[in-house]
Amino acid sequence: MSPVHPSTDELDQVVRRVAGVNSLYPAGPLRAKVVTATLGALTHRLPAASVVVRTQGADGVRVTAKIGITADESAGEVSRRVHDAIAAHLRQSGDPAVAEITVIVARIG
Amino acid sequence: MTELTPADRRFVTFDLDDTDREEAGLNGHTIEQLSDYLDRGGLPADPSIDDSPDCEIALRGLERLRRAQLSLLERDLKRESLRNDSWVASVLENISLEAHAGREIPLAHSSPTARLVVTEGAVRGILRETGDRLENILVGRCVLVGDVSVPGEPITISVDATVFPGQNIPAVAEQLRQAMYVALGKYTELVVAAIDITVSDLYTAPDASAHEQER
Repeated sequence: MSPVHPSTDELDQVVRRVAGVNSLYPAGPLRAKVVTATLGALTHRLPAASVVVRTQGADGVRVTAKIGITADESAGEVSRRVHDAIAAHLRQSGDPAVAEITVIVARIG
Repeated sequence: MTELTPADRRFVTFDLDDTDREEAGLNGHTIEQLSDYLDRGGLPADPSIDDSPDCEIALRGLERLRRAQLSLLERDLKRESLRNDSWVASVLENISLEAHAGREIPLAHSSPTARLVVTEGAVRGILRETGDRLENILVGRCVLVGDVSVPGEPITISVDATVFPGQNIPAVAEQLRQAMYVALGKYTELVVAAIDITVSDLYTAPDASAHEQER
């Protein structure tokens, strides 16, 4: 059986489920026009396309997630949980070599 | 590019007329456009605003500023006096300036493949919100001074604030300082050597009796 690599869409769900995360923003350049999923936004829109960016480099997989967190949680704790959730998901989904997992806390509260 | 602002120099590099620079920091929008969007209640929804953390931070700052203005307007009306809103322009400038993501501030993780950061914009946003949550004070400017990208490097925070009528300024400033220390400890791993607070504006409602005499 060939290994199943997680899509970035699955990674979006993994990140959204982490306690303390209330928003997920496009991690790539704005001009890429990736639609963002923002939980708890003022407006109600259709579910968005994937926003966590995953790329494959010579040294392994690189994943970048840009998040907003709730004000009652520490930025360090939430970002570590997000990192660990992504790392665990990658392990369960084929265990590729990981070059870097970047978590950016872009908004608090 | 990393820009450092020396603690002893006032931060005067922002020009409201420089819309290119302003738009670059607010996902292609100006603070006026965000203000209009707020007026319209966020309708029709604009994903380029709703999905931008920088715009969200600026919008929240605008909302808090409007609440403060409304509260002061009500006080002034009761006193039948005139308002002096010059401080509002200053706060508005800084909301726009500080909402952009800025530098990346590292957060620790034991894994060598982890790169965790909180943006300078997010930290300034929560510091401003922390200050605005206190009564009778409004944060005008908030600058992280020093190399925030180096873990363990001591930095300072430089804050300008407006204090409302009848307040003991040292006591209000100390309250703000303590609240900001708590927020910095919760949301960052920065080593904060000092939080320097300058009360640069005093909101003083004109004397109603003097106003009467002028009539």
